[in-house]
Amino acid sequence: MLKHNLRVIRLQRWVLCCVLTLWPAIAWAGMGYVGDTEVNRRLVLSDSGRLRYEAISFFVVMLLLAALVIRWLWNRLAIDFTKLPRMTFGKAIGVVVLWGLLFLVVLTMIACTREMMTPGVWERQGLLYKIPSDVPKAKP
Amino acid sequence: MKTQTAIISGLAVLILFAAVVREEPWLFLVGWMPFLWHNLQNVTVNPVGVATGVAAFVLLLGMTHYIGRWWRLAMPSGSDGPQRQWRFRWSLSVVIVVVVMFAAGFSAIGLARQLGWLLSSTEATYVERVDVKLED
Repeated sequence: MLKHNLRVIRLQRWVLCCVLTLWPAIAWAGMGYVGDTEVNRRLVLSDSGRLRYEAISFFVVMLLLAALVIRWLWNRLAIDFTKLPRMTFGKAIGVVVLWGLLFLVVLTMIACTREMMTPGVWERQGLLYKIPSDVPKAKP
Repeated sequence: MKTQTAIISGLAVLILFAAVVREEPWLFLVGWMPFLWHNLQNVTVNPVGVATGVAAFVLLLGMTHYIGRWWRLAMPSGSDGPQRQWRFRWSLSVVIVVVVMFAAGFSAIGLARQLGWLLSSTEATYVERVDVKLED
């Protein structure tokens, strides 16, 4: 019985070896090569660039929403105050943008005043003042 | 009105068409949504700040209403008719207009700052992306 089992095991091994030897296969060798026509190069937004665009989109939407609210409130008031003219959406955007520009001017003036009042930032040169070259530039 | 609608529709179609080719128009249209999503997750509420804001709003509303009533009584009755009362919703409208105008002002400043950074930043706004298609 033991002899018979050993014979069966040998036969199985022999069949397995024959199958593996005769099994077709493809051998991969050598270094890969990528031709120029297969490469597609294009400029895309970086992460910081994408964040900038998202922030710009948000602020534009905020301005448009503000214009909508201003127009709605103004026209509600115009029902009671008959001397007030009706406001269109375009005019509301104009008012909002004008107000935003006013903010920019005021804040620029404040920033300039702060810079001028900082000791050591400006040096007198004749009648005028100049920024000394060794002052470190402010980070954005 | 028809001209405005045509211009707005044309611009919308143009932006949507450009969004198929480039990423920027698409981000310009819907970028505010991920911006809100990212930033609202980092918002922390300061109870003292909220209480101060609410108190200032109520105080401003009350003072506006008081001054409005005084102004309405002091003004001579003209084409607006003999009715010389100042309504609360007028005060509310004036205060909301002030709040919204300040929000618009901050938005304009934020817009200008972001545009300035986009134009003058030393960080790369664009990077080169290389798509390689391997053939068998």
